Amino acid sequence: MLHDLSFRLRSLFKRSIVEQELDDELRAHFDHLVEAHLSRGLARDAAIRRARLEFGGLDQIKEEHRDARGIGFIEVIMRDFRHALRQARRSPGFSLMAVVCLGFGIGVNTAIFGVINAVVLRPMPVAEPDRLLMVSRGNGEPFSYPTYLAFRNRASLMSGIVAAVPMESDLDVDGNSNIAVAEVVSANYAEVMGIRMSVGRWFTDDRDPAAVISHAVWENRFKLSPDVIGHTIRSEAQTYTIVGVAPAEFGGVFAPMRTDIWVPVQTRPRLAEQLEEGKAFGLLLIFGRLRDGVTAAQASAELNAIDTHLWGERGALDQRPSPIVAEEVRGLPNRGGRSLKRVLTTLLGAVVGVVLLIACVNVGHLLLARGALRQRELAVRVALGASRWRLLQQLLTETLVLALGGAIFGVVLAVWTNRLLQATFPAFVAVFALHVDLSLDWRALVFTIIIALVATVLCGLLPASRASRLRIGAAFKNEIAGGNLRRRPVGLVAQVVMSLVLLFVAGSFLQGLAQLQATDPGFEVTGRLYAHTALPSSEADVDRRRLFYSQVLERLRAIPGVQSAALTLVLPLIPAGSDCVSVRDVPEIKATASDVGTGYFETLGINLVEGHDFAPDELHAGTVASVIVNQSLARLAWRERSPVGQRVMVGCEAPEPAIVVAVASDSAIRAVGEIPKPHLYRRIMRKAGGGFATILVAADRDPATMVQPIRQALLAMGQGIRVYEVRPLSIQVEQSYAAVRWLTTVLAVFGVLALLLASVGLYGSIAYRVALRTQEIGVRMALGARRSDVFREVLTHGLVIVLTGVVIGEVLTAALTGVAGSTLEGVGRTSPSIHVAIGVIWVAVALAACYLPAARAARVDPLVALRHE
Amino acid sequence: MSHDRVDLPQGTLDLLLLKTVADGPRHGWSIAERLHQITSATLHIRQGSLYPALHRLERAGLIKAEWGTSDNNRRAKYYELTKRGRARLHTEVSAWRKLSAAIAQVLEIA
Repeated sequence: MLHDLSFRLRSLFKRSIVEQELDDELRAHFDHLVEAHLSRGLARDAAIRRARLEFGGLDQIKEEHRDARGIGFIEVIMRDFRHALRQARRSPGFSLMAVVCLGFGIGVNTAIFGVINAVVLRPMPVAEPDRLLMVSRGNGEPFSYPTYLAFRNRASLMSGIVAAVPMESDLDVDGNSNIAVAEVVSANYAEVMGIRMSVGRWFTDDRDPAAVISHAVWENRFKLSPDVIGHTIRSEAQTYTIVGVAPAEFGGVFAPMRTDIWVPVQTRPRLAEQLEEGKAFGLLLIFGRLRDGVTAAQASAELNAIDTHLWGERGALDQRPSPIVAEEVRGLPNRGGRSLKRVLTTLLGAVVGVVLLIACVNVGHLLLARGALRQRELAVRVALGASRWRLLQQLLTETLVLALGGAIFGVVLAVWTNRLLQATFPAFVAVFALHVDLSLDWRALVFTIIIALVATVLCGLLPASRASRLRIGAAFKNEIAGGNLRRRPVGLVAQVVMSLVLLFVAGSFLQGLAQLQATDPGFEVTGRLYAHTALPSSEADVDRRRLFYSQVLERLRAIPGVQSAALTLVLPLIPAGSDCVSVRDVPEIKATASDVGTGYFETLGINLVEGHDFAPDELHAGTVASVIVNQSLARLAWRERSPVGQRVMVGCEAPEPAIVVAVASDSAIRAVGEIPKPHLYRRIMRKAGGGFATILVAADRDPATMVQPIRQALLAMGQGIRVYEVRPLSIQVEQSYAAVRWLTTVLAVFGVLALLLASVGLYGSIAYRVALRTQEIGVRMALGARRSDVFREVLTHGLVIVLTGVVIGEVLTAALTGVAGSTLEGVGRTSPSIHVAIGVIWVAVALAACYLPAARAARVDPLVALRHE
Repeated sequence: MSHDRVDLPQGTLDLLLLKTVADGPRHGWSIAERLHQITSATLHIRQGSLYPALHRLERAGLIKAEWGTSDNNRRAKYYELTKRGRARLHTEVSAWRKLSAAIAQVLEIA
């Protein structure tokens, strides 16, 4: 076996040597034969003739030998490849165009595959990623601490369970403080997750004031300095020693949000307290590692059993949220927006598929045309003994070479595109930046090769089979089967339809975006600013903090130009928490909730339909809390009655009484243009909280001019206050639909690309057709047809094709609108203006594409044409 | 195309070749000579078609080839039997003997 293989390999790679050796051998033998005959007394000529008879045909023996060598198949392929390369070099213009076309088609596919890979496919960059499970609820709700404890103590099928709490924090390096995202984790984090550290180590003790920083932080804040280990940093007024740097590809479990530092859970005493008290700190993400021999399904079942038991113990089995799913981590490690991811990947996948198709149809047309021109050459080959199958093989190999050239160009394009995408991927929230690794790995390369093969088949099979099916006699008599393109404009029409659909999708997104930007968010944006601030958490006393902030607000109101100022925990249009509200006789309502201070509604210009704002002095824990509801919540819980003055129970885990003091008009909570949902406004700083607070300011002048005065005023307050961003509110609003804007841009680019490819295809076809029919045109002109007639005819032909495509495309898109309108909230509504617009665009493009060939046709000189055989 | 001039089925040519090189390395011409000699020229073998057969045997690892100089100072490729080839020769010979004995018996009876 081995011997056989080495023999074959030698024959393959040292072909010329092997051939030479064979030649020597045969020649030597032949000479011997001749000599033998000579020695028997024959004349030289006769001896040679005799020897030849006895020996056999040299070439035939060599042929047999080649067969016996057993690598015929590979040799044939290699030969075909070399021939195809030569062929491509012989017509550089054609090859270049094909490579560029295919390159675009393949390139965009690879680029988008990079996105899909990062979001859906790639396993986590940890050890044995298939044994690591992400534990989540079906509806994406995070877990509470007691649930985590129950899992940790009772789950026997997992070798370790870890919880991670991502939280907004700060990172102070040598006096420079910045907002950072911290993951507060249990000490077994590195072990359970299976993180391979390249620099330093992970902390092992819950109480150890040690921290691990991210690679990005090491790069940006420490300039990749090797003495980062042992360096001290401060976060939330705690001092930490850096013990390690996380590997560059590990971005934490809150991806796509980036994580900057990891700290042990017991080093955040306030957090640890809250966790131990069993407060429903709803941001726990849980991961676990399977024991050997256990399947994810088994682990899932066990966790569900524990969970059910837990809720049963609480006596609230019916309140149990959706069941638990434990699954392998692929792509993004949390369930947030899973369905959105699916829609996204389907949409993008379909779009790039269409672009590839258009590119393939283009190249297919080119190949058809060229096949028609090569009839003579192919006929010669057939006459020399090539079978149709061999011919097909060779033609397909030529297409494959082009496709591979396109693939290389496409990969370069994709890498460049991905870099662009990565740079423009939106920062969803002012604080969080994304860390999604869009780089292309081996998977993308494999994908590219597969796409190249698919492209080869798509654009090469039909032309190759057409070209190989020739009649020798006709080919030699130069009867070109040029009727191909004349008879079947299907490909062209299909291209028009496909690009039309793409343009439509892009257009509707553009329209949707425009609508979004024009929609009133329900609160005032002009003249509004926000400032992110933080007090060190060591200011544990809530009263002191309240006092401080009320002084801050006073100070701000004194600045000329400031009309009002207020506190809030979280800005509008940022996903905030939720809470439970129960009213007598009404089932418990789950509403979104935010914590705001006095003057919030006035500052944002939200109308209080009934009641009055939070009173500034009612701040003591012990009295009944005030809450404000929005109109949707009011309608849901109280119908027509006024909720003002009514008692409610607020809280999901441990409900407490509260009194409704006002009803606010509905405004955008999560996204602009959303359908209003019930929302609850709670009093900020009623109880102890973290050190962060966002200040909202309403000014009577351009917010940009207020940034500096506000920042200075805040810093002047002292007490270690930290001031992060101070920005106009309009930025926040724009960022909230940054994702839609990004998607729209991408789709628009693809739409234009598709249009370009299709119009180039159209131009090529019409031009070719004219070139083919030069003789015929000459005859018609000689018989009396006018130039204008010829011009009109070519133009009409092109327009008919385009109009057919436009009509089919419009019908298709009208059908699609019906389907799309149900899936995308707020973006699916389109007006007929888009349909008209793209129809007009295509007709204009068609006129432009057909003009030149039509003009050329009209300029045909009948005498020249008739002489041209 | 040259196969139809050879009276032997493919397997037997291989057997003959193996036997011919069994007593020492030989180059192609010498093998042809020997076969011619032994069989008193009754076998019609196109001399050239020895080579594909030899290379097939080489690929199968039954014989190995080495370049050397022939007696008249020419470069020639010498073929000799490998251990595997020797074992194969044994089995083939005994198989052939059994076969021919069986056929002979049938012919006697009929």
